[in-house]
Amino acid sequence: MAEEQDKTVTAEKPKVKIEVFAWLTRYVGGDGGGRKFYTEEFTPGESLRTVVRRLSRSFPALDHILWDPDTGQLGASVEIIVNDAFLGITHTMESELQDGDTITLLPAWDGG
Amino acid sequence: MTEQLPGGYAGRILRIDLSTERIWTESIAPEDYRHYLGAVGIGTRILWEEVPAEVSWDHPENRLILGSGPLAGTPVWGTGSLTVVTRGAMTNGATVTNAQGFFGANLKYCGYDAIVLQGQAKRWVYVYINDDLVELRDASHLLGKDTWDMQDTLSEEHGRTGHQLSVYGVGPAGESVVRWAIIEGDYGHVASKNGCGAVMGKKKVKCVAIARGTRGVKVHDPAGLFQAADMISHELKTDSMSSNLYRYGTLGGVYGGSFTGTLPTKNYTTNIFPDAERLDEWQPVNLRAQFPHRGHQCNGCGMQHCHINVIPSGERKGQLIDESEYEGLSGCGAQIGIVDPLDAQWLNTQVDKAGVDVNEFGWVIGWVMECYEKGYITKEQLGGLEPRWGDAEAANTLLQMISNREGFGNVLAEGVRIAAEYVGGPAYDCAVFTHKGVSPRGHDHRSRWAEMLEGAVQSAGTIETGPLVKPEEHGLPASHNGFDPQEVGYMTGAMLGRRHFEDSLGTCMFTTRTFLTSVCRALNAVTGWDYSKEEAMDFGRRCSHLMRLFNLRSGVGMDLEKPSERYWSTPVDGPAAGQSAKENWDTLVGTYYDTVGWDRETGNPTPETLRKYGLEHLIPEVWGPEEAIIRG
Repeated sequence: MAEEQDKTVTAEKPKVKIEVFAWLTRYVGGDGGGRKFYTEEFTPGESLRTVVRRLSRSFPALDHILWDPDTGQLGASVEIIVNDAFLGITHTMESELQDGDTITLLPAWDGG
Repeated sequence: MTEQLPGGYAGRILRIDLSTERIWTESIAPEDYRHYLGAVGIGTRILWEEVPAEVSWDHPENRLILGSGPLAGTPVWGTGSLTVVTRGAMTNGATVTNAQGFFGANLKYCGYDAIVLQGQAKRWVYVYINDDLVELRDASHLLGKDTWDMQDTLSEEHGRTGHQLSVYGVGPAGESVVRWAIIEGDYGHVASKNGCGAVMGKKKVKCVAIARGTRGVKVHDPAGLFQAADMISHELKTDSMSSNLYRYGTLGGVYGGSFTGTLPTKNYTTNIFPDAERLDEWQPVNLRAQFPHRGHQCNGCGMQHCHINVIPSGERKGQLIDESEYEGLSGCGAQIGIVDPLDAQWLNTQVDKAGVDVNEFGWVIGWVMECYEKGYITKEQLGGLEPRWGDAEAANTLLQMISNREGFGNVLAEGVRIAAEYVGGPAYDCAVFTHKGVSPRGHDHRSRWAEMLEGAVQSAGTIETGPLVKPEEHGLPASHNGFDPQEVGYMTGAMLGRRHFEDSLGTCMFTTRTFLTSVCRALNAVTGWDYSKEEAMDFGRRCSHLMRLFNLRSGVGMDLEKPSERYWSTPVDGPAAGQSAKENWDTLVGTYYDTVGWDRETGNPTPETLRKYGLEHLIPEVWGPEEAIIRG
């Protein structure tokens, strides 16, 4: 029996795509229009909150508006959609992410 | 010692009996201004005391109150607001609806805090006000004119251009007493809710034209007022919740709503924008770039919000149109299948000129288009018209039919709820409405439960809480789960009050979209008071509870507090797909009732609630004398 070849490879870490949308792009160096895309690696078991916070720490302006300074909870300025469903339907901020998930950060909208 | 009139007030209410043509002024005791504050407080009191249950919205003795508040005409941004209070035509209940522009400032500069119209004129008139000169003038030459032409005509007649004359009145739709007619003025500003224009039209008042006036506004602490105004404007420019409003107003709503499922699309049959390739045209920066435009700001306002646009090309080239608010872009856009921003903004301006509510317009026209497509309404019924999704010209033809009550337009003029009852069958199930009669605002509320809840339980002819502004200032969480019925019911109830306070100041809600303490600082600088955010919220809640009692006394009760089947249907696609407000309705309503202090059995504010908000004198009338004695 032939010896098995060494098949050890470095496993790729899972990734999520994060979209920063429309007006919110101003807080990541954009002009307030369109979208900006980011890819974040994560460790299995990490939550939505952890991964979003890791991104926001790279952008102080986004970090400032995203989180309530007193409670550390999600602030009122931003809505989050995960895989085309509002937060609260399939995910909470504590939900574990899966490889390939898409997280969309949108400004909170209302009419007039 | 006799109290002096607080700063910010003119000290006079102008009253006009249209039946007898008697004109007089009344005063409010100086010490009472803090209690009644402005248009909503004064108007609600007048409704309660002077409009009994048997006086329906179209009765001559209904009151139409046009008011402002203590910040009107001051250097705080957006202080030309007009707040209309009446018994409205859509619900036959209390109404509070707010328009911007210059009317509120002119009113103050002429020396009045509010105007109360009562009775019914024997001929069409307009009210002309210039300081102490108040006259009912013949309006026969204005009949048939749209709201913009009306203002042009009177500006020319009076030799007053620009903001020297503010004209608020009805278009052809109000003349025809279309049930969802609006009061429009200053080229694009509307008090749109609950058929207030039908009330004005029924009184045979074409408009109120008010000159800039020569009286100033006395302010308790001018330096403090400028500091407060600067602080508010700085917050509006820099705060993440308001800086997009500061820059682009509500233009972003269509683009954002198309991704969040809150954009009403083809009468709630989908949440997918009809033409994805054209969606980028609806980004705020692109919307504004499509038109040559100039600023059209309201009194004292520094927001880069309102604009007048010029149509740059095509058959309508050169026409002036109003840069639409989000609700205009939705009601004249995706809701009726329109994907071209130019079509939507042009149509929205026609809606304003004819003088109907753009929200109800969207629900009516979207319903007609869907029913035509499905064969529930025929070409013959529509006088040969074939209204297909996205056809702006057909929508405009229907608008004119409605405004003049021509053919099937006479049915549609009653609003989609009554029209759907008239047609019946499967058409009834396609209509978006509330059983109470309130027109839902221009979103898909199946993805925004708070507004669906409010549309049903509100007492003011439209939402009373609305989007939550700085809930953390009141010890509440900054955000919550919009699909948890308890969280939605609680947060909506807990934030009740703020909007009635804002609408009593004479300001625009977009220029008070900051910390309530900052707004109170401006109020206190003007008046010399020490209003706190708690007192502000309590004021608004007191108004709300009194309107609630007014409605219940008039038979506008709990049995009407639910959406139509289409309105609370379950979204089939988009980010809220599968979520059902209907299944959670009892929890939504029950939690709201508990939070605001209403009894689940009767719908009345509880005796404890009435005591808490200074309405204990109404306990015997609402709950009987025993309750007043037992717990008093």
